[in-house]
Amino acid sequence: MRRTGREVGDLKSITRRKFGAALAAVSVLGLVLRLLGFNFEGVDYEQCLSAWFNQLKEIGDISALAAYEGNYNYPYATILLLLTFLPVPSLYSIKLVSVLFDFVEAGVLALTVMHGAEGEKRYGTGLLAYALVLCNPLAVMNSGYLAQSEGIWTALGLLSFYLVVVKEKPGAGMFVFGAALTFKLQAIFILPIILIAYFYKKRFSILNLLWVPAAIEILCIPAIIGGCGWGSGFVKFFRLMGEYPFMFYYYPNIWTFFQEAPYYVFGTVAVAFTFTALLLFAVLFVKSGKKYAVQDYITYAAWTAMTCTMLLPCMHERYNYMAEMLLPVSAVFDKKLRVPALLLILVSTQCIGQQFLDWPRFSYYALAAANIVIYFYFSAHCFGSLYREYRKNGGAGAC
Amino acid sequence: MLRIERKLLEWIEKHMYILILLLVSALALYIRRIPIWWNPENVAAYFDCHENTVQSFLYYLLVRGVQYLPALPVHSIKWISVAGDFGTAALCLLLAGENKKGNELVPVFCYIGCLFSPVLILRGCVWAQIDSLAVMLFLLGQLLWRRERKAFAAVFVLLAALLYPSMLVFVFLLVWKAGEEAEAGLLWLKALGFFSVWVLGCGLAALPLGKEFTEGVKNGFAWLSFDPVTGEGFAAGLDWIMEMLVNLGLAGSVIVGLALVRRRRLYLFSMLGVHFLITVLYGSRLFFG
Repeated sequence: MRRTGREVGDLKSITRRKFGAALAAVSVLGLVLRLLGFNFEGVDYEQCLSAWFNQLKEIGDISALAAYEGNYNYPYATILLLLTFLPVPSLYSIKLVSVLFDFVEAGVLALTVMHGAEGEKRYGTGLLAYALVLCNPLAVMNSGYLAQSEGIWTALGLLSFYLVVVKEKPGAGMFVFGAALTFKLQAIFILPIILIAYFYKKRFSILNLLWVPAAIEILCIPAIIGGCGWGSGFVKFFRLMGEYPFMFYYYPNIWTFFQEAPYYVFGTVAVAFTFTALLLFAVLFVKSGKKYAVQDYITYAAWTAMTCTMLLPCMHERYNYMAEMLLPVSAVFDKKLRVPALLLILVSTQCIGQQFLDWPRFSYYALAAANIVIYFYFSAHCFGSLYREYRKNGGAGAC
Repeated sequence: MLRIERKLLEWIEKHMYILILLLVSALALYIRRIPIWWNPENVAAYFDCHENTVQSFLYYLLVRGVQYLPALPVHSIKWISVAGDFGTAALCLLLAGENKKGNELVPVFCYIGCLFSPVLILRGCVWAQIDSLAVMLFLLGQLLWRRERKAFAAVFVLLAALLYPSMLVFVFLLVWKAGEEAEAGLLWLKALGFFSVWVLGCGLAALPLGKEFTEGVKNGFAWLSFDPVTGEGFAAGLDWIMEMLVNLGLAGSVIVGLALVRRRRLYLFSMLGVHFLITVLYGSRLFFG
C-alpha cells in the first residue's frame, strides 16, 4: 500500500472497543515505565521537595502554608500539604501526583488530536498521540524518576489550549491557564498561540484574560486561610522572576554560545528577540490566508513554545517540556517533522540524563548546536509553509 | 467579543504592516540603548590612531569629529552605528520591495530581520564598529545603481569603501555580477577608475590627521594584514581567516540575506545559519576575548 504523508499505519481498523483496550494497555505501559524509577531520588527531591514536605509535615496544619518557603507557588504547596496526611512516603506520593497529571496531559492531547482527525482515523490518531505523550522518555523521567511537576503545568496549559482554541470556551480555558501559571510560570509558553488564535479568529474577548488572576487568587485560598496575605500568590511570582540572572541556565539553547554575556545587558535583548520572533510569526499566520486545522495549531503551539525556550534567557533544561510533548504529536500528521521530533527528544533526554541521572556527558555546545539546527529547521518549515500559503492566496489575509 | 474590540482588531489588521514597523523600530531602539554602556575590554584599540592604525583614516577622522559632541566618543560611535543599523534595515526593505513587487510581507520581514539581527546588534551598539554605516552607504549605492543614477551610486559606494575598506570585496562582487549582465570590459575599466579614486581618497583622508599620503594609502589595505587589536601581522592563517570573517561578517550577512530574498524560494534555513555563525564569531570575540 502506498503511504502518504498523512497515513500512519492502518488506523482505520481501530474501533471504539479496540481503542479502549489499546488505551488501557498503553496506560499500563506508561505506569510501569514510571514505576521503574519510583525509588530514584533526584537532587531536586533531596534538596528541595523533601525539605519542603518535611517542613509542612512538621507544622501539620493549614498554617504551614504561611511558613512555606519553597520555590513553587502556593497551589503546589497546598498539594504537598495534603500529601503529608497520607500514609505514603513523600517520594512516592509526590511522584504519583505528577504521574496523574501525565495521564491528564496525554488525554488532553489525544482529545485535541481526535477533534481534528476525520471519521475512522479518529481513534487511531488519538491513540497514537496518547502513546507518544505518555511513553515519551522525557515525561517518564520527569515524573517517574525526578518527581518534577512539568506534567502538571503542561497538562493544564494544554487543557487551556484545548478549551480556548479547539472548543472555543475562553472563560474556562483562561481559568485553567491561570491554574497552570500558578504551578509554574513556564506555562506562559502556551499563551502566544492562544493570543494569536484570539487575534485571528476574533471569536472571544481579551477580557477573558481576567480569569487568570481570578484563578491564581482562588487557588491560593487555602494559603490565605492559612495566614498568607491576599496577594501572596502574585508576590511569589515576582520573587521567582529574575531569581536566576544568567543568560544560560543549562538548557542547550542559543545562549549556550554566549554564556559570558552579562545578563543585565542582554537579558532584555533576549526577551525582545523572542517577542519579535513571535510577532513575525503572528503576522505571517494572519496574513497567509490559510484555513487552519487543529493539527496546524498543535504544530504552531510547539513552535511558539520552543521559540520561547530557545531564545529566552535563564532557561532550565526542563522548560522545553511542552514543545517536547507537542512536536512528536505534530509529527503524526506531518512526516517532515518526524526526524526533528526524534532528534529533539534525543537531545533533551541526553540533557536531562547527564544532568540528573549520571549519564555520560556530552558537551553543552554540541547539544546546543543540535538543538539550534532542529529549531532552525522547524522555523523554516513553519514559516515556509505559511509563506507558500501567503503567495498562493496573494496575501489575502485572515478569512 | 465586544464591538469596540472587534473594530480595534480589524483596524490593527488593516494597518498591520505599518504598526509592526513602528513597534519593532521602537523596540529595536530600546534594546540598543542598553548595551551602549557596555564595552569589550579591547574596544579602545579600535579608536586609537596613534599606535594600531589598522582602520581607515576616514574612520579616524570620524572618531576625531565626534569628540566635539557632548557624549563619550565611544557612545557617539555606537549611536552612529545604530543610525547605520536603521538605515541598513530601511534600505533592505526598499531593495527587497523592488525584488518582490506586490508582496508587502517580505520587505517588512527583511526590515525586521535586519534590525533584530544579532550580527548588527553585536557589531554596532555592543562592539562600537561602524560596519552598518558602511553597509548602509553601500546599499544606498546599490539602490541608486538600479535606478540608473550611477554617478551618485559610485559616490556612496566610494564613501562606504573609504570608511570601511573591507567593503571593497563587495564592490568587486557587485562589479563581477554586473559584468555578467552588461559589457564586462567597459565595466572593469570603470571599476579600475573607481579603485584609483578610492586610493586617492585613502591618501587624502590621512592628511588632516597629520599623516602622510602614502600612509593613508597603506592603511586602506591594513585590514588585510594586521590584527586591529595588536597592530601586528596575523600569527597564523586561522587568525587571518577569523579576522576576515569578523571584518566581512556583517556586510556578508546582510548581502547574503538580500541575495537569498531575491530568489524565488526563501532559503530561510541558510540565512538563519549564516547569521547564527557570524553571531557566534562576534560573541566569542566580545565575551571570551
